[in-house]
Amino acid sequence: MTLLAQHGWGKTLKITKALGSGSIGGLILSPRDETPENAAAVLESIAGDHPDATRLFDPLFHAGQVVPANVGKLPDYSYYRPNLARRDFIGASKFAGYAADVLGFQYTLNVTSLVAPTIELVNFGDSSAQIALQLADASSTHHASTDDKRSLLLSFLINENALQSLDELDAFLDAITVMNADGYYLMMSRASSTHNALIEPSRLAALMYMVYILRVVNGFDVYCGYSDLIGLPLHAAGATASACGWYGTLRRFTFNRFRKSKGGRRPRPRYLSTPVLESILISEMDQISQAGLIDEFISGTSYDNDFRTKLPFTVAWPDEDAALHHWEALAAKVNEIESLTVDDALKKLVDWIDTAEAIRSEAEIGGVQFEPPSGDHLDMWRLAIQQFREMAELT
Amino acid sequence: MNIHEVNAETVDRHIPDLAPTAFIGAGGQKRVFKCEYHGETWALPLIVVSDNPDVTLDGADSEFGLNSDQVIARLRREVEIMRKCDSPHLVKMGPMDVTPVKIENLSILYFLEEYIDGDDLKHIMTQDRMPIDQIKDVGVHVTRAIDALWNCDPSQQIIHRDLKPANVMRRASTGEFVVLDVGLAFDLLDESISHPGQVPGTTLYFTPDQLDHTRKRQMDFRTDMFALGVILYEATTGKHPFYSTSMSTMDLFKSILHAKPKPVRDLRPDAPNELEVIIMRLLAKKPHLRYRTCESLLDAFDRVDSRGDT
Ligand SMILES: Nc1ncnc2c1ncn2[C@@H]1O[C@H](COP(=O)(O)OP(=O)(O)O)[C@@H](O)[C@H]1O
Repeated sequence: MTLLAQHGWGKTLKITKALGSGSIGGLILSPRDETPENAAAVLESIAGDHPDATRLFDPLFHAGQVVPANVGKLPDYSYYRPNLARRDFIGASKFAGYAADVLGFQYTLNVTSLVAPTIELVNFGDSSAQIALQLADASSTHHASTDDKRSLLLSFLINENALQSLDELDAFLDAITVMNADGYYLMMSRASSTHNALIEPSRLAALMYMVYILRVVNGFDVYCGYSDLIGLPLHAAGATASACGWYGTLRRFTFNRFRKSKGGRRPRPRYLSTPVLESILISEMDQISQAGLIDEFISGTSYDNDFRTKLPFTVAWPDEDAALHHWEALAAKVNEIESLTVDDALKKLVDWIDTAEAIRSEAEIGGVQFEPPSGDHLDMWRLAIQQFREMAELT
Repeated sequence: MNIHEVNAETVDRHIPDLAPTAFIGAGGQKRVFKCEYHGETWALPLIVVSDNPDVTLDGADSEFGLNSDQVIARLRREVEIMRKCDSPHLVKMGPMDVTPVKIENLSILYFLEEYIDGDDLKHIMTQDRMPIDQIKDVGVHVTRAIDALWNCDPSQQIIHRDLKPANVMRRASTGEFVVLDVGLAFDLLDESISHPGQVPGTTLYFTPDQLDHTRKRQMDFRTDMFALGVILYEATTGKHPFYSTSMSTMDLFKSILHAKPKPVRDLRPDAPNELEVIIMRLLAKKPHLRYRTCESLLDAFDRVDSRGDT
C-alpha cells in the first residue's frame, strides 16, 4: 500500500482508522502540527500497532524561508532555523550543521527512513538549486558517517515553474542520480491556488520524468509529497509512494501553509469521484443525482453508499468521513496501477481519462453544469502523458 | 623533427639509461617503446607536449602558451593516483617518476608502465568475430577499471575520457582486459599539438557529454560508460554505432548527439537480449539514463548468458 497520509493539523483518529482499514500505508508527519514529544509518541504508537507502516518525518526545514511565518510548533524543534536567508547558506560547515541537526533529531524517532532538509528550488540552474544540492550532499555525507542503518531520503521541494526548463532538469538529474542515498522525497510547490489536479502538461510531464528516471531507471525509492490526484500519473511513472492529506494545503503544497491565514471562508464540501478523477462539489452531485447518473460517479468506498440512495445534499458528510473516503478511493486507484509496468500503467490511466470524459459528457448532456475549471485537468493529463512518453522514449 | 620520426634509435641516444628500446605502438601525441629497467621489461610511453624548439620544459614556457611546470606536475599527480589504483584492469605504473627530455625540437615527458604482453582490442576486433563471452569480459573488466579510477581516491575521482579499442589490451597470459592511457593532461598541452585534427581515431569515441557545450554539465564516470558502450557495440556487431564511411566530423558529432543506433541484434542476431539492453543503455545520450553505479552495471553483466541466444 503506497498511499500515505500527509499529516497536518487536527489529525484526530483519521490516521489510525485509515491505517486500520488499510487504505493508507503510513504517514509523513508534520512537526508544524505536533510538539516534539507528541511527534515521537505518534510515531511510536503507529510503529507498535502497524510495524509495517511507512513512517516519515518531514522536517519542514524550508518553512524557515517564510517571513513572517506561521509555523506552528516548529520553533519547539531544536533543528529549526527561522528567517533563513542567503547568508545562512555560505560555507560548507553551515550545510553540515543543518544536516547533522535535522537528521540528528530524526535518529531519535521511530521512523522507517530519514528525510533530509531542503529549501525551495526555484530554478534548476540557479543558486536555490545549488543550495538544495548542497543540503542533499551534506545530508548524505552525514548519514554515511553514522551507524544508523535506516534508509536516507534526500528531499527536494520544486517550484512548478522550474519544471519548464528541461535542459536544466536534465543536468540536475545527472547530478542527483549519482548521489549516495536510498531515495528521494519530492514535493512540488504549486504556483496557482486553483484546483489540485490542474497542472500545465509540460510541468506534469517533467515531474513524471523525474520520478521515472529516479525510480525506474536508477532504482531509487521515490516518495511524492502533497500529491492528491496528481499522485496517479506519478505512480504510473513509477513512484514508490505518494502522500495526500485531509485538507487543501496538505493535498497541494504552497507556501501559504506557512503564512498567516487571512481567515477566509470554509471550503465547500467535495466528494472524490474516482470515475471522473476529480473532487466534485456536493452541489454538483445534487445535479448529477437529479439527472439519474449518480451511480456513474460513485467511487464505491465504505463511506459513500448513502450517496447512492439519498439526495447528496442530505447525506451527512463530516470532514472526517470525506477524508477517509478520499484516501480509500484514491488508494484503490493507486493499487490498480502500482504493480503494472510504466507502459501498462500509462495505458490504464489514459483509459480512465477517456472514461472520465465520457461520463462527464453524459452528465453535461443530462443538464449537469460543472463549475469551471472542473474537468480541465483531464486533457492536460492526457497531453502530459504523451509528452512524458516522448521524454522517456516510451512511445 | 616530427613525432612519427621518433624511433628506437633516437630514444636510445637521448635516454641511454633505458637502451636498448623497441617501438611497440603509437597514439596521437605519443610513441610507446618497450625497454628493460633493472632486469624487468617495461613499456615506455613518450608524450610530446610541444614541438616548439624554444620550449625548455623548465617552467619558463608561458610565452609559448604552455605552463610546463603545471603540465609536469599534473602528469606526476596522475601517475601517483594511478599508482594507488590497484586493479588488474588498469595498467600499472613503473618505478620511475615522470621525466622531461628534449629530443631536438620536441619536448617530451616519459615514464615507465607495465608492459602488457598481448593484443589491443582494436586489433582483436578486426580479426574474427569476437565470441560473446569475450565481449562480456571486455564489459566487466573495463567497468572494473572505470570503477577503480572513479573510486580509488575520493578526493580525486578520475574519468578516463579517452576509452577506445586501442586503449584496451588483452593480457595474453590471463585473458584479462587492461585499460591503458589514463587521463593524461591533454587539455593542458600546447594548442598546436593537441589540436583535434591531430588525434586521429579519438573523435570516433567522443561522447555526447563532451560534445554538449551548452549545458556546462559536470562529467563523471558515466561519460566513460558511454565510450564503453561504443566499444562493446563495435565488438559485438563489427560496426560503429554512429559512424559510417565518408561521414564528416560534423556529421559524426551530430550522430553522436542525436542518432539512435540500430539495435545490436539486428546486426548480430546471436547476441543475448540482456547484452543488447546493456549496450543500448550505455549509449543513452543523457548520463542519467545510463547506470547509476559501476556495481549496477556489473550486476547487469552478471545476468548476461554468454552462451548466446538460440
Ligand atoms: N603498456 C603497454 N604495453 C603494451 N603495449 C602498449 C602499452 N601502451 C601502449 N601500447 C601499445 O601502443 C598503442 C598506442 O598506445 P595508446 O596508449 O593507445 O596511445 P593513444 O591513446 O594516444 O592512441 C596501443 O594500442 C598498444 O598497442
